[in-house]
Amino acid sequence: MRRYQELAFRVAYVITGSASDAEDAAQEAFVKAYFALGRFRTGAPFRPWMLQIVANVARNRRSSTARRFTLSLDDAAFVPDTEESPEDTILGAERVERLIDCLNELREDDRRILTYRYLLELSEAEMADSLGVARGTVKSRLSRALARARSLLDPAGSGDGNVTDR
Amino acid sequence: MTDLLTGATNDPDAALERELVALRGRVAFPTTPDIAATIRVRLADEPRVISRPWYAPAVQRPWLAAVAAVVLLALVTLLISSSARHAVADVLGVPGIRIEFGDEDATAVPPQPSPAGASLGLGERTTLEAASDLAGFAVKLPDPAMYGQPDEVYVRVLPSGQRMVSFFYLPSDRLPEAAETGAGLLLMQFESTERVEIMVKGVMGDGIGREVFVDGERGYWVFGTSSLAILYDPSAATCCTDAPRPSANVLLWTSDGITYRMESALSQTDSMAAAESMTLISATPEP
Repeated sequence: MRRYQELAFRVAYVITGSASDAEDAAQEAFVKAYFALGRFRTGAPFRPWMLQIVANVARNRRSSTARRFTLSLDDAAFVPDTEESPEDTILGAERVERLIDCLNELREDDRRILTYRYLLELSEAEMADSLGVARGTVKSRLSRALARARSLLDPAGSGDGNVTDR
Repeated sequence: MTDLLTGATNDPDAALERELVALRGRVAFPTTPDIAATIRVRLADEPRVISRPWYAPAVQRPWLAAVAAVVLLALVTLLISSSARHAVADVLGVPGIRIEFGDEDATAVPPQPSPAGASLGLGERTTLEAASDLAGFAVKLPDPAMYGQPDEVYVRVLPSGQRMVSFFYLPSDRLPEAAETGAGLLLMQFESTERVEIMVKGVMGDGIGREVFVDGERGYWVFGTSSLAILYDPSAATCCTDAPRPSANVLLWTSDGITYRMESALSQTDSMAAAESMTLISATPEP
């Protein structure tokens, strides 16, 4: 359980936007999973099954709280590259802040799928189960989210400034 | 295109993906609480019943078994009460379909050679064009560009007076044959706004019912041993017009007041892909 608790908590947090709701959701999901172990198909990967339960519980909790999940930087985690010039370090930091701002400007579905893929490193199958959609849908949503993030980050970028929401 | 000197690519998505990956250690998530410790305490206070289905006795001592029997009786009474039954259906099914867990095997109904869907209790055969008019609601089918047109179309007037439209697809490369129906895919749909129970989905033995979300709508994926029965009287708990028949893998979900039941030998992922490709008949191009 310890092996999955951080990921479970973060997946739930991305959905609920609240640490306390995420903790409750992760707890409830682990209990549900425990009592459903008899129905878990032997040989099937455990992590996607577990994350699907976490996501379902978190989604149910979210409906009553509807908080908005946003990203922020952990300043304590920043380790400057000693080979970088101070100017490059500042420019790099500004770019990272701009990226975070852009991610927070995205609609929540986009931010959630980008977070799942790039920050939490979920596989496509895990994202599909966690988002409750088909794997093909994950690919197209991820692609659209990337395009929208790029158009926000570099509005004058090459040809993708016209990306619009569905 | 890759720059041979720097290794950098001109793919803007790839560049953004690299930046996002680099964010991994920089983003602040709330500190993960020690969930494992809390769960251990919770589980220590609850009996372990993971190896048996929920309806089986979970206790060994006689007096506890008696208490359990009373609780079970209360649960059965609750299930038979009409309003309560709908509330339970909300938890264990989708509108119009109740999911029950049990251990009785359904009677096998071998599919007849022609028409292929005639033995499945789907009603009168009709045409795709007439289906929506007969149904009284906008009928949908999986993307014809991927799954083709249904080979047979049926409409059945249900005991509740509602009409159920069924599409029977013969097996194909994309749709492997389900032994239970002889179909590559069987899609049933009916209006579920009145919240009248129309079907009972029985899950037995090694059958598993799992909550899923189809385009954000809650549904159920049922695979393993299960059966389907159509209720004779929507107000009755068990009476059925047809003998329950064994089911292949089933995806149940609702969308815009219509309940869908998709039965096939497809995996959960492939079934959900077919479900999410659903389109209105009127929106489909002529074959």
